[in-house]
Amino acid sequence: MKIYFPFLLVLLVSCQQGFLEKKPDQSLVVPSTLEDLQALLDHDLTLMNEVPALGLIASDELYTTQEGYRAFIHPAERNAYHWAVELYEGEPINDWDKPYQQVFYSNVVLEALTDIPVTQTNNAQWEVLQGSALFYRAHAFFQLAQLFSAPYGQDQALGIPLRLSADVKKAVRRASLEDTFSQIIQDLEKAENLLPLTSPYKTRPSRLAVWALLARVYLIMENYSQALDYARKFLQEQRELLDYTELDTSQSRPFPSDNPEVVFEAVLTSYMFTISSQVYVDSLLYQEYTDGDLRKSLFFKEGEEGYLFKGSYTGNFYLFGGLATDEVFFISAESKVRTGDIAGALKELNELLQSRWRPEDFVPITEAEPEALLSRILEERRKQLVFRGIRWQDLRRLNQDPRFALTLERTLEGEHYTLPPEDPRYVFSIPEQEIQLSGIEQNSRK
Amino acid sequence: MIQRFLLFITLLFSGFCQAQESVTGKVFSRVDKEPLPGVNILIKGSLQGTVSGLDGSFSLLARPSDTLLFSIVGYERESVALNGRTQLQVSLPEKAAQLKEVTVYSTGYQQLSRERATGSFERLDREQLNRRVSTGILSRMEDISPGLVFHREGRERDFSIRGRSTLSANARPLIVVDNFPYEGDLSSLNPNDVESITVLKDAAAASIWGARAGNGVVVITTRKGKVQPKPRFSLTSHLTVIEKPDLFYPSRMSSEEFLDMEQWLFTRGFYKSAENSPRRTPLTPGVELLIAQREGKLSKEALEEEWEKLTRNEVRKDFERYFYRPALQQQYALQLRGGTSLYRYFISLGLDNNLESLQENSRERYSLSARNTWHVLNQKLEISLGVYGVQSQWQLDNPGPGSVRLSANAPVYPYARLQDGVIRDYRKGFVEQASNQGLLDWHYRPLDELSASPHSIRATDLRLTGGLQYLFPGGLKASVLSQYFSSDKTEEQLHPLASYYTRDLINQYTERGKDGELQRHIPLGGILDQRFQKTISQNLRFQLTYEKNWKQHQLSLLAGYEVREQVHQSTVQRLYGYDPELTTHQPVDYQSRFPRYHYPASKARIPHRDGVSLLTDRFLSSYANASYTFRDRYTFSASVRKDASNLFGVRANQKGVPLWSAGLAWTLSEEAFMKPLDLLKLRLTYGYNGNLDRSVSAYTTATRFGSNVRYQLPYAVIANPPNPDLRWERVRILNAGLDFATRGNRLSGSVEYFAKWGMDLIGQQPLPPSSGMNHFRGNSASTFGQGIDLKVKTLNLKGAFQWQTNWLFSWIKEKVSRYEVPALAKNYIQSGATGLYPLEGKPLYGIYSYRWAGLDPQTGDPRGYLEGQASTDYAAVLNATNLETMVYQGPARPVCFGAFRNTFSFKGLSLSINLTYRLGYYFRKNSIRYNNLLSGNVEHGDYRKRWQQPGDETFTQVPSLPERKNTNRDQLYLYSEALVEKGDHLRLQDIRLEYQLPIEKLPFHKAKVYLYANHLGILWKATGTPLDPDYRQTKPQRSLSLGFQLEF
Repeated sequence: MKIYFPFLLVLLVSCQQGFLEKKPDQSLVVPSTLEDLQALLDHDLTLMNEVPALGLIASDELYTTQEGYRAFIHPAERNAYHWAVELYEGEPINDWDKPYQQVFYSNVVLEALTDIPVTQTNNAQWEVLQGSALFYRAHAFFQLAQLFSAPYGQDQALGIPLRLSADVKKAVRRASLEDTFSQIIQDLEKAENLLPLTSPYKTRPSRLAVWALLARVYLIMENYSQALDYARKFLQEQRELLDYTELDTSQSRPFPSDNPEVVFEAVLTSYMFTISSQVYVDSLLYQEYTDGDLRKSLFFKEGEEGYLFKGSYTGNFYLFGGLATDEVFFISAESKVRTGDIAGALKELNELLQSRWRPEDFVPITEAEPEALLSRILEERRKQLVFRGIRWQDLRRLNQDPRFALTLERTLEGEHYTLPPEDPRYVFSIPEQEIQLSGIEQNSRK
Repeated sequence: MIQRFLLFITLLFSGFCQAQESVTGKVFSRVDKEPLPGVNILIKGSLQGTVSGLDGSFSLLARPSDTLLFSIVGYERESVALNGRTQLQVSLPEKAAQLKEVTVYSTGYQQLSRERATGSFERLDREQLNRRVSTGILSRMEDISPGLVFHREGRERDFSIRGRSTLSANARPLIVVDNFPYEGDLSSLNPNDVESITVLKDAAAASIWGARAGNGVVVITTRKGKVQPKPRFSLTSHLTVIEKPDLFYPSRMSSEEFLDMEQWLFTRGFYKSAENSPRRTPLTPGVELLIAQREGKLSKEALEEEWEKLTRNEVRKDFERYFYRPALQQQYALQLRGGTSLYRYFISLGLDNNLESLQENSRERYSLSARNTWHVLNQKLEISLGVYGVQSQWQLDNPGPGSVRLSANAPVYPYARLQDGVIRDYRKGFVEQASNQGLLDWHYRPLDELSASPHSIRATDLRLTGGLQYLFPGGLKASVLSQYFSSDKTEEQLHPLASYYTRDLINQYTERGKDGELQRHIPLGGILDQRFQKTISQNLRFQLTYEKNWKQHQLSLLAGYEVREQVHQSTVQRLYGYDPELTTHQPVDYQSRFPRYHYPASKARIPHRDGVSLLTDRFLSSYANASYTFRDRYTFSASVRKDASNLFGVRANQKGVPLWSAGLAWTLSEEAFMKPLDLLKLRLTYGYNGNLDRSVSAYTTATRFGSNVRYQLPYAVIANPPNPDLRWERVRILNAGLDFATRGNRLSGSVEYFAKWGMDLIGQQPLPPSSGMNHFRGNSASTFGQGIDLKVKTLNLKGAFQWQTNWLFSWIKEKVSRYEVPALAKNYIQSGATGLYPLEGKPLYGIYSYRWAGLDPQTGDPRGYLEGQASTDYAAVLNATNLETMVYQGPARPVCFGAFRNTFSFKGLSLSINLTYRLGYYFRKNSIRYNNLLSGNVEHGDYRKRWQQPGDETFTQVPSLPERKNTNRDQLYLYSEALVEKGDHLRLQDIRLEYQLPIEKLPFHKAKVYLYANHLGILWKATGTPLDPDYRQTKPQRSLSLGFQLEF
């Protein structure tokens, strides 16, 4: 009896493999099937397909009146508008929180996938999910890096915390900027091989979206040959542009919701300034759109004291913040001119512009001088990609080149504010909650 | 020594020269003088012997100098020297009788004598438990166990042991019945089957229960067989009468006041929108009269006459008359108990029949239990088998006065006359018209509804226990215990076609087609609601125990391993068009949205009630316990347990930080210098108990939604992040106790100090946003509590007239010591007493208020404080009140409580009077909500005391009637300091009068009759309000019981 007793116990436990893995409540949705995981990633415009908007309020694309300024609700939009050192006044901000929620959801999906065996039948869906999660994570990291890290290229610069596991209690420190970008590229390169060329829903990632994002990432890194490489891959498959002549300029939302140029649909986080009728396009910028340029009336409408933006590629009141073909044309053109392909650059530029102009007024660009052409491309880029949050990323990038460096200026309630190139205020501070709870290093804006 | 030597010589000598003779005799039990069969009788120093027969007689051959040894389980060994006798009468003392002063604690894993216990145990024996008369067992523990308190607000049967050491997890003590956790309905346990209850209060006592011991453990031991020559029957019964509830106890406006209010509202055009409502909003008879008069259908005189009639009605009187009756409870128990050294048994039959206060409603309980124990293989192997079956049936046809309403949102008008029918849900004219248009009769007649819808619950519990225990030579014992428990509960309510519920629902979903034909989307017929619940739990335990006593050492070791699974399944379903005769039903369309007859513009789906749930708990546990006593004075004990469960996270299961405890005891009264005292013992223990929170999961959980923004795809939101670290909550407990008894037990009792640290409690924890979540429910909060439990018994008078006093006193002070995400001041003020909002530094249940600046002397408006000034800017006052400026008034649960019981006895007669008290807490009075009143609903009787003219503020705090609804004005008053009262009170809980019949002249072994009166009333209270601080909604109903107990 004495001998058998422990033996019995061993027998008992060995029979109980998985005994403790039983779900305590059958109705708990413990995301474990591929459908569950897809559902997590389909939490679309209010989470997975949302991008930060604070770059837009700090950029030179817009201005507001005193009244408009006072109507801003969140301290972040008020303070970012005139580049104050203190930004959030203790409030949390979606621009930090939402991308990290995307990272969290992606990590949950990536970890759950490892528990789902790949079979012949689920193979395709499994890969799409893994690719999607990697894309979302890289996309979020990229957006965060554009707000909360120094512009790429600065030595020893800090990146962002790279959360690569779903463990919410795990402490993660800020990675270097270099590592941040390698992580983004690594995730995207992996996703490239897993995702289909296009996806049935434009809120879901696709290989086109991966290429568009990689092209943008390399452009930001000023690696023009790689940027061109991905732009080329993209444009080989997708060159369809929206013919602006077919749009009704009198509409309050002129762009269709099924815009063929869009490859990845995302929206900017909503703030008061994104919907305010007192936030106007920069008046100098508005003057850049000459007559015959359809964008002048498709993108803007007259407001009380200036021109209001109405040209969101979402086709509704959300500002578009996703990836679209027009941007890839510009990445291609810019990379080509920077790598010496003048003819190629002109071809891309004219193909795009042709669809933006009234045909009778369109005059193709023939500028052959590289420097002048580059300036022209950047100017057209700014005019095409307006109110998408991209301008902030461009300012950070181009400020490093004395040819394009700008000092931004604002006047508000009699005060004059400036933001010189490469100012530390080009890097947003990390919200206070994050600093207090995780102890990571804060950015200095002084 | 010399004597012994001489004796030895004599014996030796006589052994040689004396021949064997026949010796006959009889063995008795010393206490009851009953013959004892099956007694082993052995001649000392030989292997010869015999066993006593059924009548206790025996005969054997022995030398006159021999000594006989008598032994039987349950009795003390006795050795009797023959000294030449050939006729013997031997009486054996019962072990239990001899150990009369020895209390045995049961932990559910072992039996422990009081002498060797280091922890905080409280044993309640049968006599104590039977003092109170009740259907269930739990309430019998009230007022006889220090530290244990029943919470009277909220869920009725909630009780706690030494306060609360958790925030959101299960706060209920673990209930163990016969060695295993009991998962059934405690009301199905027959109290007559209970032998004793041991309450385990500190770490040393309870930590053997590991992750479930945090709230304390109540170990219930049922009765079992006993060695006695004759089977013994016992019959007990009692009859209890409970008075009708007092519906006039909660204050309310009178019919006349309410009618005046209706008239006032009517003149202000309040009912205009309801009159014109497309929804056919119901209007009370008073308002209908006013409308009729306005429209010229009723003369002023006729109105006044009708009005006068209405003021004389009082619906509460009708409720008392038609809905209630005095409740009657009957309980019978017949038990049979007996056994020999080989086989012991206990069989019990129980019947309870309760007629509830609500007419038509009743409860029946039948219970059968049988417990058998065999001792075989030379008494080395013990086999036990137990079967317990309980069948309970509740009949709940009477839905109670709460079911009589004007509409779902409005209570019935106070001047309703039940026998005339009550306006409900729709306007009177509409109901009459619809009934004439071919719809089912749409009138509501509450008296017809009293038994219209048969509603029953039938529960069958079955508990099977089995055990094998083998005793190895040398003190090692191995045992296997198992339990299978199943509980089936079926709840069924049939709403027949005749019931208002069914008629109303069918009518609502009746549509008039284009051709005028009525189309019924719910088929004609009854509606049957059913709920099936099934719980199955299975336990298996292997245990080794080792006991050894040598010289001055006593060692006891125990180790075991346990597997447990509990599955709870429930199914809810509804059948439409049900025909009880044929048990057929008809399908309905749950998908389409139908226009509703009374309000065609609002479309709705037919109510769908079906659902299924499945919960599974699994545990693997291992445990060990050791205790060592030296010279009966110094005891050291230690206990350790490790639990793994499917509720915990992977890391908690793998890492397995065990829950443990250690204890020391020093019995000073064994020391020479303490001899004058019968008992003086110091105890000190320390250790950890655990607790479970089912609201969190170790897994990532998500909530699914139907369609996302852009493409209407299904999507999911993560509700709970993965938590592989999730583990049981822990309670660290320090306990120091002193047990004392003077010579002759004139003064005895115990005093204990304890401190409890709730650790790793499930609480909100803020997370860095980069984690992807803002908050996290995890093991992050802490509580601290300390207190004193005192129990004193004094024998004031001894002799023919006895007087004994039992005094229980508990003091407990608790606070939340860590909670990282405080809620808003508003949450604490409005719900602090519910324990939902922990606040650091305060007890979990607290009363918080808005500061009160009194009534405005000009307007009678309530005033709060804004920046230090009295203010009536209600929104600003409420918003400006923060955690610093809100007023914390005190705990909502008693800080001190206890009982004071005096028992007087003379001959067979005894009288026991129990006073109970609760001190050091606060409660919030209810008062008038003007918002409700201005919505046309009857309100609190404080209306009478409202401020009406300047000067009233000197004697009332009740604000004036406002011109229009103002929620913030109501909130400020209702949650102000003005309505908070002290809860302290002293209560005459109950009285018991018992008479033990002299059995000499009766054919009984034992016979007693008793009279018991409960809930007798409050003797003193701190508050001046007429409310009972502990029963503010309904007054406790007094009851009187008559019972008897016979043994034969």
